[in-house]
Amino acid sequence: MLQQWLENYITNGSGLSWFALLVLTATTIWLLINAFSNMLRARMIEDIATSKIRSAAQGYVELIGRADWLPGPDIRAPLSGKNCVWYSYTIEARIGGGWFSRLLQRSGWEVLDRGASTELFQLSDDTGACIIDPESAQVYTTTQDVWFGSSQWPEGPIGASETVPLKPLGINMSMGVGRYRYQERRIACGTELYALGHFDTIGSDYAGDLSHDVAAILRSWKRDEAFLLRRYDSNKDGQLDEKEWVSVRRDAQILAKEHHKLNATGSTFHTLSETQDKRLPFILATGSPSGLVSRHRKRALLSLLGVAGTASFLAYILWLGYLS
Amino acid sequence: MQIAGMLLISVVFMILIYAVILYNHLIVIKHNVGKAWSNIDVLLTQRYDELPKLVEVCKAYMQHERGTLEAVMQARSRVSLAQQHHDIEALGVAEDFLRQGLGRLFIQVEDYPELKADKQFLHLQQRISGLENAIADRREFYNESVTRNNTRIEQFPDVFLARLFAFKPFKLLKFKPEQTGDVDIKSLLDNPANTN
Repeated sequence: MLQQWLENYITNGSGLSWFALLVLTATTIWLLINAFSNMLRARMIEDIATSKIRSAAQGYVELIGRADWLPGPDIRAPLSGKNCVWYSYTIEARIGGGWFSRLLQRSGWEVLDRGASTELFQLSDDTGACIIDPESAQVYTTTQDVWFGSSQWPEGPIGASETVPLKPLGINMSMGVGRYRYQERRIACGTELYALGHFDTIGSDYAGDLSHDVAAILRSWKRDEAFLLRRYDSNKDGQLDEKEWVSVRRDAQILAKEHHKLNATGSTFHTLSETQDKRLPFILATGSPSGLVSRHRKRALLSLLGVAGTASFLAYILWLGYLS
Repeated sequence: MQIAGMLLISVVFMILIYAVILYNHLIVIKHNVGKAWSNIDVLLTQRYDELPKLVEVCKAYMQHERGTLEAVMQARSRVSLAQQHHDIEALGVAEDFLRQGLGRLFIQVEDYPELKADKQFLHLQQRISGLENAIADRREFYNESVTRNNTRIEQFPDVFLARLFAFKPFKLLKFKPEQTGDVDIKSLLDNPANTN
C-alpha cells in the first residue's frame, strides 16, 4: 500500500519531492550525530577512573559518593514539597484543538513553568567532602514523579505510584486525569551520586607566592639539564624547543599549585562545578555509573535503529524515483 | 546502480567516522594514563623534597639510629631514580623499601620523647603521612586508568585500531598489599616482628 502510494506520488506528482528528501536526509544526519555522541559519552564515562576527594587532582575528575546537605536552610522541591539536595520541575497544561496543533506543541502539552535548583550541596566519600555547584550540570536521575491536577500548582501530596522510571529517551507516557501535569526529579539526601566535572581546591591561606614557587622550581630543574632533557626532550634532538618548554612550565605550575594546596595553613575546601572546556560535560547522576553508561548505550542504539530506518526509506524513495 | 553506489559510500563514510571516534578515544585514554602518572610524580617529588628535612630533624635527637636514617635516604634515592626513568616495577619495589624504612623510623621515634614533642618534627611527620595517603590514593587512580586503557585496547572493535597504530598496554604500579594502606604506627608497635 505504501509502495503504491509512493509510486503514485512520484509518478503522478511533481516527481521527487525535494522537501521530503531534505527532511529525511536531515533526520538521518541528526540521528547519526545523536548515536555517535551518545556512544562517545558512554565510552567517556566508562574510561575515566574515579578519584578520591582527598587526593583528587585539580581539573576534570570523576567522583562517586553520597549526596548530602550543606549547613543552612533545607532545600525543598517546589511541587512535592519533599526535602532533597537538588530538584527540577515542569508544569504543563493540556492543549485543546486538533491533532495537528497538538503534534506541533509536543504531544498536546504546553510548558507553563519549569526550573531547576542551583543551591549548593555536598558530595562525600570515605576520604573527604566536596561542594557541588549544580548550575549548568546535566543531571540524570533514575526516576521522576509525574502526577496530574486541576490547578496550575499542585494542591495535595503525591502518591508513591506516581514515581516512574525514566525511559532511555526521556519520553514519558504517563496518563492521568487533570488539566495540568506536574513532573519533578529530585536527588534525595543520602543518595549515591556520580559526578563528573571541574574539581578545584580553594580557600588556602598559604602565604607563599605561586609565581615565586614556579620560578624556584624552574631554577632547580634548569640546574639539572640531564633531568630536563630526559623528561621533556620528546623529539630527542638534545635540546628543548619552545613547545617542550611549554610542557616544562606547565608541569612546574602544576607542582607549585600542588605545593600550595598541601601547605595550606588554613581551612581549604573542594568544589566541583562546570568546566570551561565546553567539550567536557558537567554530569551529576544518581545510581551507579554503569546505569548511566547503559542509558547512553540504549540511546545510541535507538538512534542507530532510527538511522537504519530513515536511511532505508530514503534509499527506497530514491530507488522509486530512479525507476520512474 | 547509482543508488547502490551512494549507499556503499554512505556506509564506508559512517565506518570511517566510527574509526576516527575510536582512534581519538584511544588517544584520550592513553593520555589519561599519562596524566594519572603525572599526578603521582608531583607527590613523589614533594616527598623527595620533604624527607631530608625530616631526617635532619631526627638526626639532632637520634644519635644511635644512623642506620635507620640512612636506609630512609637510600630508599628515597631509589624511588627518585625509578621515578626519573619512569620504571614502574622498580618504583613499586623502591616504594616498599621507603615505606618500611619510614615505618621503622616512626617506631624508633617512640623512644625519643623530646623528638616526639618537637613542633617541626610533628609538622613534617603529619605532612609526610598526608603525602603517603595521597600517593596511595593516586596509585589506585593510576592503576584504574591503566586497567581501563589495557582493557579497551584488547576489546572489539578497538583492538583492530590498537594493533594497527601500536597502542601498548601500560604496567600497573604494584605495592605489597601491606604497604598500600597508611603507615599505621600503632599496629607496627603492637607487632614486634616489624621492629627488627
